Amino acid sequence: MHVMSTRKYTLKELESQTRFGSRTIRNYIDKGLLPGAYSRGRYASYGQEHLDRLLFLRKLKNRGKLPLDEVRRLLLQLSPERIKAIAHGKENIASIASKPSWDVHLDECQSDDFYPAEETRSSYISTDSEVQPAPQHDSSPPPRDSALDYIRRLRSPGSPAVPGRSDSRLRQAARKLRQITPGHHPPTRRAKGEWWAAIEVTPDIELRARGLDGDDLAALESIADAFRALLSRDF
Amino acid sequence: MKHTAFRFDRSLINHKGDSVRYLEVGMEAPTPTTDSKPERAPLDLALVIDRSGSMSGAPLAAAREAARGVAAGLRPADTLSVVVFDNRVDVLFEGLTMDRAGKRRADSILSGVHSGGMTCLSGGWLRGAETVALLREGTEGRRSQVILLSDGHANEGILDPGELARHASELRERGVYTTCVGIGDGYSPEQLAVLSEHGGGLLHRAERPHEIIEVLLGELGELMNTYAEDIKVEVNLPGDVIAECIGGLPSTESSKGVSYHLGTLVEGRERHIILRLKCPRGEPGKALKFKGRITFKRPGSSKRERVELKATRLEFADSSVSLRKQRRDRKLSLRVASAWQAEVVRNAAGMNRDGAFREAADMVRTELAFFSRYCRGIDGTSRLIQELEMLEDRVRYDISERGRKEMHNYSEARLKSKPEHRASFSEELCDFME
Repeated sequence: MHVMSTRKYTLKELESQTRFGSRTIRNYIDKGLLPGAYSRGRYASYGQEHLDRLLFLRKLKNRGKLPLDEVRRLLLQLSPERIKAIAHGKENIASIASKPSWDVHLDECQSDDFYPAEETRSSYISTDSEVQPAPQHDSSPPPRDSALDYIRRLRSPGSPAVPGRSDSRLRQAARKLRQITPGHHPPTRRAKGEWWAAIEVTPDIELRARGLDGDDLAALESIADAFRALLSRDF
Repeated sequence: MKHTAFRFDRSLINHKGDSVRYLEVGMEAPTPTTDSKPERAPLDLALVIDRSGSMSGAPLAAAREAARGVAAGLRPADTLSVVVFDNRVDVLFEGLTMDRAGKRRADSILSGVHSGGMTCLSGGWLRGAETVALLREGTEGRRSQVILLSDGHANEGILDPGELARHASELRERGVYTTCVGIGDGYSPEQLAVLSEHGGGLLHRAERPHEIIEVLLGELGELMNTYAEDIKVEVNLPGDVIAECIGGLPSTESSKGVSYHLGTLVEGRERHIILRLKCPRGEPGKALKFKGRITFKRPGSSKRERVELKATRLEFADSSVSLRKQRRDRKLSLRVASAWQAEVVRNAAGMNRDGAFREAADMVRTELAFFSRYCRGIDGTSRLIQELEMLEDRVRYDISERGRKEMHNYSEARLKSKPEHRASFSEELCDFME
């Protein structure tokens, strides 16, 4: 039986245990990667889920750069138990965060160890060496492939970077939606991320939004209806 | 580098922990005399111009005129490529050598650019990058630069700022740099900011058509006088120290500390970054020691040069009197305050754009409480405080998109030492919050 942890943490405790600064933690809440604090104000409290998610994000961050949407997708897909297992090192993050081939070289310099090793990050012995007037050459390895190889791989057939390639039904629908909403502007985004509303459009497509009130929820339902109708048409 | 700095605003910290101190990493590029000025590496420049429907008329005409001006300013050893995009990407010309004949040809082709449909920003950007990447293949000593001009929000191709950031970083590491010019008030600050920030360049703003020409020619001048590219600041952090860069530069973490990517530095210019460090508890009399280095590439070179910074330290103290009365670097504290204020302004502008008005005002109020305390006794900070107080009132309501863009631009200028190429430009924050 799963027992919910009732342990509460302060922002300071989260900072010291995850090595994310308070601004970063608040930023993650704003971006919907973490639920909001249980209480507001100076003595705001956070729970085990916050700690697990932050440790998970730390592991993900150490592994390399990942688009925000991809991080959100991972957090939505994984159960709290798996997030916890990965966060605390019981499961390897490589099992869920597969990376595109062009990111392979990052593996060389990224470690899965969240906590720094004592011998490398304890205290540094101060030296009296002056600033070097003549720069030395750095030996960090350059990327394995050239800029041209990288771009061509990215622009290969099927990549979303290039228009006019084979579009998925979802992309076709997105384009249609834009066409029927002239003067399109990026939608406003609420800063709160306490919970997500999920509305199924088709068995394999779902609309998710966070921080919505009653009217907005109704609007989301009607968007889902319109979207469903659009998908059922033959493009 | 002519000068470097690696210093704290104060040198003592509370032995009970939680002291916050600010670490500045600064650098100044030398100004070469006419005699000592090295031969500039040939430049392969790609101009990527948005020709979507919203650019029709004066903006596109100004972009065309600016491109002609850039062609005129390049040297015979340089090459120019021009890519135009809407929902289709067209290469007008690729790797055209900027000798007299090449400039004439560029001039005649540029006059035929007309506006079209939607905005596939990533497609245009990558095609532009490809034109300069092709010229890099098998050669040494060339510089590869993309300048992207757009007035819109991408709605085709790669849209996610995180993914754009990743590709821009990868290209930067491979020697292809990106700078962006946002035109008017409709461009996406997120998409263009990440492309330039991770692409080793800057995001410039051109509000009116004639400013496109000023900005583009100003940027060309910067490119001609670049001293260092792809600058990276590496800071070794003692255990349990939490570091945040004010302004949030692209960074990578390792077991030894953090590396921040700063982009380029022009001859004779200074650049500073400020790190906000939260310190652990420790034994009175003992110290936390910090080491750092700056690495960079000289234009046209693939080798990275390194400058070690003189190590610095923070000492644990157990007396509240000595902590309170400790010496403070006032000039550095003023720079900290300026960067801190710029960060708050930028975040407030973003939240206001997202419609999070109340949250933005709360955020400014919280920051203001800490900020005012930090500024006590520092000359020149009262104006910064007044501006934040005004921001707290104003950000509760929907600020115009122009105002938000200028606020973002104001912050970028302070956080990244960004030059302003526009002739008619107000530096007063209150002018933008109408």
